[in-house]
Amino acid sequence: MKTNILPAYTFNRLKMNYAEINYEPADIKKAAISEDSFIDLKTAEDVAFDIEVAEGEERSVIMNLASEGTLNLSSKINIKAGASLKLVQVYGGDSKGRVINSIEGDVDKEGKIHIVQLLPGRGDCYTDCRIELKGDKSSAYIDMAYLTKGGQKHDSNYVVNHRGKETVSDIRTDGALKDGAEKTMRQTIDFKTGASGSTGKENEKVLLLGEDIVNKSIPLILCTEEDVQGNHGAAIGSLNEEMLFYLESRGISKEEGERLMTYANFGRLLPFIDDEKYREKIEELLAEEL
Amino acid sequence: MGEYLMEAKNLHVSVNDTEILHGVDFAVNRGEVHVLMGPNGTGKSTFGFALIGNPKYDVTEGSIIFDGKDITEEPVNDRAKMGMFLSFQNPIEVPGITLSSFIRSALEQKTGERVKLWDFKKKLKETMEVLQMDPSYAERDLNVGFSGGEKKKAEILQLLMLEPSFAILDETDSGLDVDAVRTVSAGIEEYRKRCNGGLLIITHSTKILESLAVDKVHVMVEGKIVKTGDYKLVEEINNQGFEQFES
Amino acid sequence: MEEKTYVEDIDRSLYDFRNEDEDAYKLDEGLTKEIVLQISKEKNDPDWMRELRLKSLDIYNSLEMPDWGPSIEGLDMDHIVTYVRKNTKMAGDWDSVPDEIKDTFEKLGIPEAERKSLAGVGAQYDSELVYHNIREDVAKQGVIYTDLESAVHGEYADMIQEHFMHLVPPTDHKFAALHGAVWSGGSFVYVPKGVKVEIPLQSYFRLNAKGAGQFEHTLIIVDEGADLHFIEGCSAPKYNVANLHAGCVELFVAKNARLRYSTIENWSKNMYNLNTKRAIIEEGGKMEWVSGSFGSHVSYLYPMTILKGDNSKMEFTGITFAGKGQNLDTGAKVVHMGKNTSSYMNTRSISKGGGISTFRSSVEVKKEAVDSKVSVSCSSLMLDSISRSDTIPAMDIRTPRADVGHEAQIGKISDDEVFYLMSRGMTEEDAKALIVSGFADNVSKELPLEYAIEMNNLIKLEMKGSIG
Repeated sequence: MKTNILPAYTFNRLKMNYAEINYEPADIKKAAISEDSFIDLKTAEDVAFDIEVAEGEERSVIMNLASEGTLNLSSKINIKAGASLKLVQVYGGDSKGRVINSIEGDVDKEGKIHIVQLLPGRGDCYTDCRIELKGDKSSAYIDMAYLTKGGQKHDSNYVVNHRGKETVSDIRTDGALKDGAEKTMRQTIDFKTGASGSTGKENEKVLLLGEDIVNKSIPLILCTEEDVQGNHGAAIGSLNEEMLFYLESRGISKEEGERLMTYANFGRLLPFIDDEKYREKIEELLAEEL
Repeated sequence: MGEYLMEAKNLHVSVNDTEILHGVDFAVNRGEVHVLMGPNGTGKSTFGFALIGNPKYDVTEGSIIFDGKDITEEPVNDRAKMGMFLSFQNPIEVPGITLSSFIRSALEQKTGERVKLWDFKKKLKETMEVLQMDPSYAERDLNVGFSGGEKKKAEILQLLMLEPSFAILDETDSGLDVDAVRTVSAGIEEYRKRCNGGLLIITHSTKILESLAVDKVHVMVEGKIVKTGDYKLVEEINNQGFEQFES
Repeated sequence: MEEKTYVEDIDRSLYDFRNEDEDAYKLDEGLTKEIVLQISKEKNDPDWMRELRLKSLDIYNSLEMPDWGPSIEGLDMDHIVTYVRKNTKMAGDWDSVPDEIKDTFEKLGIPEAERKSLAGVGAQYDSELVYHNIREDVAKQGVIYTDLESAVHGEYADMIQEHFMHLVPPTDHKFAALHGAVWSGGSFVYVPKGVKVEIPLQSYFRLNAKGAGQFEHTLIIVDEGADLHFIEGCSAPKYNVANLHAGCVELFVAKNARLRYSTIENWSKNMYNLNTKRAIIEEGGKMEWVSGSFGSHVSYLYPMTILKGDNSKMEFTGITFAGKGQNLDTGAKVVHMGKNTSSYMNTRSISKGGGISTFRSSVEVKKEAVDSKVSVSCSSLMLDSISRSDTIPAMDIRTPRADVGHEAQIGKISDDEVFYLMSRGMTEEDAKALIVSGFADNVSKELPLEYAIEMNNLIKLEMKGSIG
């Protein structure tokens, strides 16, 4: 299946415009989520969720994506006026497993969506996320932390379409690549005509920790509206000499410093996990993986 | 051998093939406070960097002995684990690591054991209070967006939390900065309460020494220590400057 | 020296004959082997060049049109041969030059003689003379600056053969292949070892009065330790009846040499500008691109730099202004191959009146390119909500020992800034024009003064909407 498609292509030669996954979805199980939930997806399957948050409501959903085979998950989200959704997804499955995750969200006037994703280096991860900020003053926040190890595929695509006035987006992906890791990160902010007064931010930080890495980054900003502010920043590299010396002068070796920084990307997101027991479990998982 | 806490013998140090230190002899004991003074650009900071083991500084001759062990060839992080500390004048920003997790990790590296979170947080909070440091800085990324004064406090905070047996405070820039002087003075006082370590303060001006009991004063001119004395030397420098020592 | 182009020499009847007798299939193919052979014959090509043209034709026929970027539907590809043929009509007359072109010349203060040349309707006596004198000065230093067609036959024939379309092979893309088949005109510059050319060489002097610059090939070789600044184009609109420009620029920068290549491009607004520019830099060499794109209806322009040698560097400074009816897809590409290489891109773009500006870049850092440093910064200014500005940067990094920083921003002219200038007596229009000129200073400060002034005048005109 072809997925993670860039809204505007770059040079074909670079082979970054979309992802091709060797998988065909079969019998899709559908379900609706209408209250705060913890969803444990342990078995390999095709699942589709419908999440609708009523006007003025606040919803929090945690999804543990822990399949051993291939988990093909898609979530259709509808956030009504003044409502908000916090969606936490942890890709914590078997390290040979694979998660194909797609999110489509519509956000109405003054609605808010906050997506928090943790990818701690367990298996292949494909993420395709598209948010339509339809209503005025709607907002989308995406926080993602990852560690990709050698032999693992990591391919992500985040798209936020600003349609309403004074809409806000902030996409932040912080991660690290170990020996032999390959990763493609696509981020798109699209200001459509009429989205005046909007601001969009996209940020990418990648720590390169091993040899034989392949890091592909494509941060797009598309715009047909004058009165907007769009920003993008990407920092890709390894610990520089000065930083290393500072850490070492405090007895912290390069490896330890790298581990600290990799952990910090996830650590920053842990406070968003409301479920205390689950959070502790994730902390353990992180300590194990990092 | 084994007498001094930290000893430098005939130390020659070069940077990019240019020799900056031309045979420096130095020794400090536990519990002592030494001061290194001298005109600017004379090699004082270089001495500090050479002692801690900054790879950019080549020791071309001589040796550095710490607690009876020759550490001239040892890498910087090993020297730090052994108990040496250098406070930086303008510490670099390290986004991605909080001040608190940084100190905790450094402690764990030193002791080789996991640090109990609760005890650590308590001690950190208390130490920040001593330094009158805003407690929210503990969870901020290390030095990112910190003002000069906050960076100074963060350095001294690390000094107090890591309790090194030998600390080098490079205060060459602090000079007349009232807040920096206050922070460093408070820090040194607390440090001496917590541990009986050795201190080397590198400075250009004497303001920072006013409330300090100093054991020995060294004057460095053009990469060599030209005079060693007691606190009276500081008064001499205050009155007559460094010209009397320059050749 | 007489400007010589093949197009004048081709017998028109040849084409007319073909139109009648060729069957429909062949006519649909457009460019035929026979036509290419004829071109080759007229230019008296050496065997290798003729072979290259024929091979290019085959490649052209086998390649697809690009499936991304601005639409080039307006190009009459089925009758591509007409682009070649059209040139024979280039001995046009001043009366048939569109009014808007004439007006712009007037507003930019371009002298009479130059106007005719830029419009492709007259010879440039003045510049011919100046050109001739410049050539004499640099010749004393051993610098070769001549038209490429004669160089193919002269004493530098071997050097040309070694380099021609090695950097941009015909297989690169369809229009590179087209170029390979029908290229004509252009410059050849060779700067010997250690020679620093004090004054910038300007292709303006090489402007072909008959307007056959559309398949121009520029080949520049800067030998070890040498230094050259080459300026291409000018800010006055370059008018051409035939609306395709498929040129090619190949730049070879040897060890420790430096080349600065500046371009102000302002092809008239009916043009399809599908240019390919590429530079390859050896050890310790440095490449500087300064690029201002103002004209054309559609542009595909991504100067590419291959940092082959260790310690080589690249700087790219560019500005693109897309106004009404324009779709300018520009950017830059860099490939880091050597160790300790660095690249720096600073681009700005402005979209106005329905114009579409796309910044498209590609940064590749190969596995062997350790200790490389990359810094890309692009800013875009939207002047209204009917225009479009897209930023499509791509990075492919394969070594951990790389330091890559990238930032982009998009926004509008600050109301505060406009208010401030107006409070000092400026009209809103003038204030905005000034701000946009300031926005373009990344490029204007890299240009020789007269070019910078011309560029700023051009911006003022674009802002006032007085250029059609």
